[in-house]
Amino acid sequence: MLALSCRLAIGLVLAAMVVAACRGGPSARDATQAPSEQVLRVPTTEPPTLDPGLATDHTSLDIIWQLFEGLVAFDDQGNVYGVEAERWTVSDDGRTYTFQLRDGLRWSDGHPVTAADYEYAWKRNIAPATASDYANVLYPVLNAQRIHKEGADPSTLGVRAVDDRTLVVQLEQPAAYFLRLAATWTYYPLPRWAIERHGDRWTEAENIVTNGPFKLQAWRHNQELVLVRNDTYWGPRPTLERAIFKVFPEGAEEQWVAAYEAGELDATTTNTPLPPAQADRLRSDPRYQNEIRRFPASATRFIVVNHRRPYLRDPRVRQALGLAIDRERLLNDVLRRAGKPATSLQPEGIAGRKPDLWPTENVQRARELLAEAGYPNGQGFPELTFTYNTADVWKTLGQYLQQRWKETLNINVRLDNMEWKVFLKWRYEPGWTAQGDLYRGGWVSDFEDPYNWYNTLWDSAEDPTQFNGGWGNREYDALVRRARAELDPAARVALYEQAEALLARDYIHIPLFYDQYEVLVKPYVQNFVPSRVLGETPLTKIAIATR
Amino acid sequence: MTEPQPASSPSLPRARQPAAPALSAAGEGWPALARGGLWREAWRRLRRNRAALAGLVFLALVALGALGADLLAPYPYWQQDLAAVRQGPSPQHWLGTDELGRDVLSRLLYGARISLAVGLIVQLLIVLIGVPVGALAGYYGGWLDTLLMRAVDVLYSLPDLLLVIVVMSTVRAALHGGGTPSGLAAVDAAFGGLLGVFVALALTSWLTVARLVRGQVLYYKTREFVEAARALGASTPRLLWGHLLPNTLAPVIVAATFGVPHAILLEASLSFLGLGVQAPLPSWGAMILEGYKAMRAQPHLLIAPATALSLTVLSCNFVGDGLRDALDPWLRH
Amino acid sequence: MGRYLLRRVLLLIPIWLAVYTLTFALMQATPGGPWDREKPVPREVREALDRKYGLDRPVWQQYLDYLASVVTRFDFGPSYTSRGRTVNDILADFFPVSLTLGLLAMAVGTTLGVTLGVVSALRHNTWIDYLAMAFAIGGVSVPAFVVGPLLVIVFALGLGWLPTQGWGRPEQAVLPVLTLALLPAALLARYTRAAMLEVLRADYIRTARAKGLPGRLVLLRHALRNALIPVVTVAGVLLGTIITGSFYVEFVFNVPGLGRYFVTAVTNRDYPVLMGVTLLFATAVAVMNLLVDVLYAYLDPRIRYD
Repeated sequence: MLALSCRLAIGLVLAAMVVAACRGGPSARDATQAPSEQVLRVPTTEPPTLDPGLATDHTSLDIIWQLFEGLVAFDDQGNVYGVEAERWTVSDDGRTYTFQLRDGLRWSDGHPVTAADYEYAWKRNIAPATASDYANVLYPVLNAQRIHKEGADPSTLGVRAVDDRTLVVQLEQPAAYFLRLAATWTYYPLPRWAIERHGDRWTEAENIVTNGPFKLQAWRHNQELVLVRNDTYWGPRPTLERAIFKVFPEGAEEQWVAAYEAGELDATTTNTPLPPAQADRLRSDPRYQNEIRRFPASATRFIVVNHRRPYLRDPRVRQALGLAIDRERLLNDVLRRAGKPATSLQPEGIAGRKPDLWPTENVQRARELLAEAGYPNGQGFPELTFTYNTADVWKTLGQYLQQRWKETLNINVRLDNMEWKVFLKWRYEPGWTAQGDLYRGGWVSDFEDPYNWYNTLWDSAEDPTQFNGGWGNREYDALVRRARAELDPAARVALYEQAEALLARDYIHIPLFYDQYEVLVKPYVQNFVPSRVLGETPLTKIAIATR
Repeated sequence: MTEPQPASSPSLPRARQPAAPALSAAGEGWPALARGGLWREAWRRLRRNRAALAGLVFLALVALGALGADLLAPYPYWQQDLAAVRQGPSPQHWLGTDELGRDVLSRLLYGARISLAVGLIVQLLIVLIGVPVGALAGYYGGWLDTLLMRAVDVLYSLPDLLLVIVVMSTVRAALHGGGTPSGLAAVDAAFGGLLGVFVALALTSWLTVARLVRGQVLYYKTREFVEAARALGASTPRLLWGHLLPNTLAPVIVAATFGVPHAILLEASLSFLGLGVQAPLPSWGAMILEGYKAMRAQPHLLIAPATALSLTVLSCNFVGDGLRDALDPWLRH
Repeated sequence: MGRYLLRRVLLLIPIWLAVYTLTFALMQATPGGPWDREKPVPREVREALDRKYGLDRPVWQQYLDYLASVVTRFDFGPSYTSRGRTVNDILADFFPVSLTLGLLAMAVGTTLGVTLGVVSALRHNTWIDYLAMAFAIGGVSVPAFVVGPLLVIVFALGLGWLPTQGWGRPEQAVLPVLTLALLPAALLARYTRAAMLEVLRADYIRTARAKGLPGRLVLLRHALRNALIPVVTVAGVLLGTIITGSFYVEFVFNVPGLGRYFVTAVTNRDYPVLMGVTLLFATAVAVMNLLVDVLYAYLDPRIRYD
């Protein structure tokens, strides 16, 4: 009995191996050979939702951007262009926007896309019952806050479909960044009939109705999402016939690199980063020289400073800490990440940014500043705590800072590593506000407008909800609030430049580096160009150089 | 938008380990009166077992290395040399350097402290909880047995990761929640903030030992020598201590030899979630995790700690086997 | 036996209830919640989410309502992370995958482990024995997250025989099954060897040998049956753990199983998913324990339950 089952098991294993060897894996392509079809295979993680009204994360957006589209969009030069909106007008007081939709817009099920679909979507997304995480991006629209915060009737929202192709939007007060906001996913139209019929399940492949260049053919959860060309789409026909998003577990960095090397994937995406050790290896491997590519991102990593701590309140101390860091070495030798050393907190592409105003790295100057602040050679300076959530990049950064500040400034640093959700909660508790010193921070533009940085992050009214650093400056607040409503672009930039000068003078937090997206792309994949903003990579432009 | 949930990466395996079954069913236990002589006899036999002796010597060396790391390590474990990161073995760094240019050999020596502490302290706690519970359940039987064993089933099924997070946060809040730092907080800091991990791992891992001990006690309590002792009027504690518990030693030792590497690796997986040792203090588990990521580029970062762990496990097994054989009075080769 | 079985099955109810209660309590005590995100969620949104998922009710009411929905409708509720998906969807989609993978791995692991154990016991203190035990020790001391990638490097990237990841085609199952089988094989090899050695030393075997009973096969069957008792105990517990999914193996080979949720549901604080997975695990373990006890009585006629 034993011998038999043993033989059987060995036989089975061998048989499986032989089968596998003969088949050679039908999905595996020779790593260099071009495919014969217009199919792109890329990695992803399981998207939490495909509902544009509920999406908050990069993974969901990667798919949503291919399936849905909105009124307008922006290119990387900051120019606005109409998508479903053919043209639009703004009233002189900047409070009324009128959008004219294109003719012949259709949903994937054949329904026409109408202004009413926009009206429905916005009212649905702001309704508290929908519980949308991003509902607050609708706040500039008239009555949005009253609906969301005070329970007013969602039908009172300042948006109205005058006819099938005309959408009129009333704002609470002038908002110069409104078109930028209107380009984001929370403002996309939604198919009311599908949502009302299927409820929460309307985003499953068999129920979903979309208006973008691609439609969802299949969603095998935790395995793959298959997107195909949408024949009802109004715009230019994409070259790609199909895109397969292979779902990997979160953090499976080694796995998608291996799958790419084995020819199971054609590219990695801005949302599936390369692990530093692997990126290092691939960069120095001649076979991959032409396949590993970098693209800038509208994102900054920085160290959040707690301004409530007396010894950190002196800008000279914050500057000393910032000037002592060797960012070039940090990025290239220690973190081995794609990125650029940061001077300003704001990344390239954000109007108002003036990196020249910010002090530059200088260890000698850092020591002098610390001495001027009353701590010559670090004497009398208390031990600092640097807190981070577990991720290799933060752990390595923390250890670098610990040694660097000890060597250059003679300041001792204690590292405090927290579980992810514990860390998130801690930022609003006395553990941070009363006892914390520094923690790792970072911000990625939702939309590339100075509002998303100067107002959203550093206005003191926003402070407890954002990085909670405790910094406040009335002059700054007044400047950015004026800039918010300033409709003259040049005047608006001038206001933000003044605000930037205040940030630079106070050196409120310590900038580290600007992110870059690093991806692997097979030579036969053409026009794989991620945007600076959230790394959006439109599949419409991509083509496969087939055999 | 800020970045999404960071890489969670390989993390906690199920903390369960399978129950080691009762292995010494062939023996009939030893008479209580001869115990002193048996210990001497056992030691004599252990010394004759070459594999066990080799294991014991290796474990002693590791323990010495851990305790004497301050003297033995060529560099401080935290000292970085950013001009010499990720280098292979060389005369300056026998086992190479890591991502921050730190000496791997030094980190291995210091890491032994944390890893041995995790392995041994957790095992100690496990035995301290598991043996009494198992013995009581097996000895008294009836409703107490049902209650304790079903409680074991329940605890076995709890999401241990959640338990670890709760215990660690509680311990952290209790120790560092303001006021003057207590002595316990200093102990916690010395172990890289792992006090909570010790408690949590012990809380979830004693179940196997309890099951084993119960099984052995059940088996032996009806054997003649125990019946005889009872008939002679031996008290319950005396029956338990003198006759029943010595017979549970063998499987407990086997379980413990498996438990030590298990706890060491578990600490490693916890560090992925931010629940492990606080940087820059090293542990073998954390070093293996870091090494695994560099496996294809700098294999020495994985080979060094993995070899250290495997040799330690091997030694634990040899010593465990040796002890088991030595303590089985009826075993004759 | 019938009464014993009935009692054990009835005992599952308090076990379930206790697991539910303790897990619920743990969730209440865990710092950080499902709506804590990197970008802070405004208070109004948080309240709306709480209302939508019923988290604005008093804790005792949440406890009872959830319990009622599980008991009466077998409904574990919606996932907090995957919006629009229910826990029932998740269990239905991913448990069969873990079950298949687990059963395959257990079959391979048991065959390999028991064979190695028997062979090394019969060839006690020879190089075969040492080799088998070296394998057993390697199997418990090298973590799956190291073995898995090694197999990928050799068989997928190096030789190109097998795919690196995925699930659904037979060749995709080979590496995850082998990796998952390693621990059971190693443990069972060790336990089988130990048990066989004990049995081979036992009087009745020695007597049989002394009498010159013919054939190694008879001896093997005779001895193995007795040696299987501890092996069954270990295998049963292992099976309960393995069929509910292994995080590492599913992670490394990108297998869409349930094991992933043991960790991600905790890191995301996706409590309904965690509760569903925990109760499923509790059931699997309890059923396996019961099966082991029944099998135990079958293998050793001296053991009687009543």
